[in-house]
Amino acid sequence: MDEKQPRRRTINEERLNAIPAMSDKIFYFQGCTERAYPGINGAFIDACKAMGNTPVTSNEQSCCTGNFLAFNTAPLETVLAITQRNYNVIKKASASCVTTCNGCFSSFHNCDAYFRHGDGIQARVKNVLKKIGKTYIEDVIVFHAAEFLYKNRDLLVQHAKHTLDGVKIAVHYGCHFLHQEDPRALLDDFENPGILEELLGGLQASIVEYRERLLCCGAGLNQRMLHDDRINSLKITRRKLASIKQHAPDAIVVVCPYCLLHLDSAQAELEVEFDETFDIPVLHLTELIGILFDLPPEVLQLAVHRVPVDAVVQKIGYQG
Amino acid sequence: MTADKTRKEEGATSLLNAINQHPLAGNDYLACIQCGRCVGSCPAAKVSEKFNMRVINQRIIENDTTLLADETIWDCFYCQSCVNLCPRDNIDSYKTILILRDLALDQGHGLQHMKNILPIMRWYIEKGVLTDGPSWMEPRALDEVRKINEITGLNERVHGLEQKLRKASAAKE
Repeated sequence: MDEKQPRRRTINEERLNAIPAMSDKIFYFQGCTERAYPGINGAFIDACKAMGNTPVTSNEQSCCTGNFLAFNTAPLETVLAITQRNYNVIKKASASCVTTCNGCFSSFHNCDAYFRHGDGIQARVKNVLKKIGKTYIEDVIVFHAAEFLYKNRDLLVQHAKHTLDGVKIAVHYGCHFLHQEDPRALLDDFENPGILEELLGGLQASIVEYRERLLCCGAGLNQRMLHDDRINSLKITRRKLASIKQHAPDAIVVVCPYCLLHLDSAQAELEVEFDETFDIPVLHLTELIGILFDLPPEVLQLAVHRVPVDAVVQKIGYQG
Repeated sequence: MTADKTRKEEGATSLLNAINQHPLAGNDYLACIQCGRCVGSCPAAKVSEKFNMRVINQRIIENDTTLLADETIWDCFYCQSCVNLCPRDNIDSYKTILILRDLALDQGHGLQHMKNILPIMRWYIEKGVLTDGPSWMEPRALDEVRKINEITGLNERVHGLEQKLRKASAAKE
């Protein structure tokens, strides 16, 4: 009998081609959860600068708001009008936008799908925009920093002051990077993704293969907030972390601040609830890039992590 | 005919009608082939005894209005994995749960689940951002966001849910 072959991975070539190059002007859309780990923003901006790009930011942007629909607290028109208002702010700088948050990423792409939902929704949103002096924007594309850095991965290798040689990493993509209402937003194969493995592999990391790679972190968008006991949320996190722990990685690398917040803070809760200790540091991809670029400690602000990241930072040889 | 069955059939039209009147309606529940791919990938199904998207689709087809009061609709993780895995183009279970929860809240079910969410919505209404710290928005831009919130009915919706939650909590005590 033939040996079982791994499932073939498919990449969306059209989307890959559309991802900006490092030389292109980009707007950087900043998310609310990133405020809890300021190094995510700081490292992205400063690493881009080191590679010759200055991302444009603006204090005219609001929160993305798309996920208010999933909070069951907002009318569709509110969410779509706020999204369009943010598109107006983005478009002043560029039609290419980059975000470091899966929530913002999926919020924009879900809204792009809802704009096409019919029932006169576009006309109603246009009417709202008129009242605040804005127009309906159709050509802004929101990319994830994981996509942007993947496309520009050769530059990362060139500019990194260290490699990840000998560093074991477990990768977590997060649901709202992999799954979208708008299929045009899917770059990688959602059943068998590999861009992060390729990107980190290029920096010589040892990637651990673990069974629950595609499982949710447990935060479940608002699942953590819906139930006071958080038990279902914690059970998923426990399952995920137990699967990772078997391979004893130096760190988990995520691309979403909310997954980071949950995987980082839930480890203490799991100790109380299940008497189980994990002690696995969790880093956002851009924080890791910042470490590899030796960005200063005041930019990275790694002390805010609940599970200390010192050991992996030292192993990499960080000299910021 | 049992009382339970009668209740289901009476509610039937109203549940499907209500779902179909939602701004995100468009699912064709009869297109479900009950393949179960949605359940196989579902985090909620791994930890909740009752959550099963295939069964929820079936209950919608059967017009089972008891679904709106069923706590299981609050177990979904909104991960959207079922959306991309479903072999049919016209079923989006993410939207199904979103609509069912909206309808449940309209009927006064599940309000306790809004307890931790509504204060966050207040941050947004006041500051345009979801943070307990100060807003990063410049005042003129924040005014635009506040205007959108007002004219699209966000403030009214949040205020209404806050009042319903207060009433439900008082009645419980």
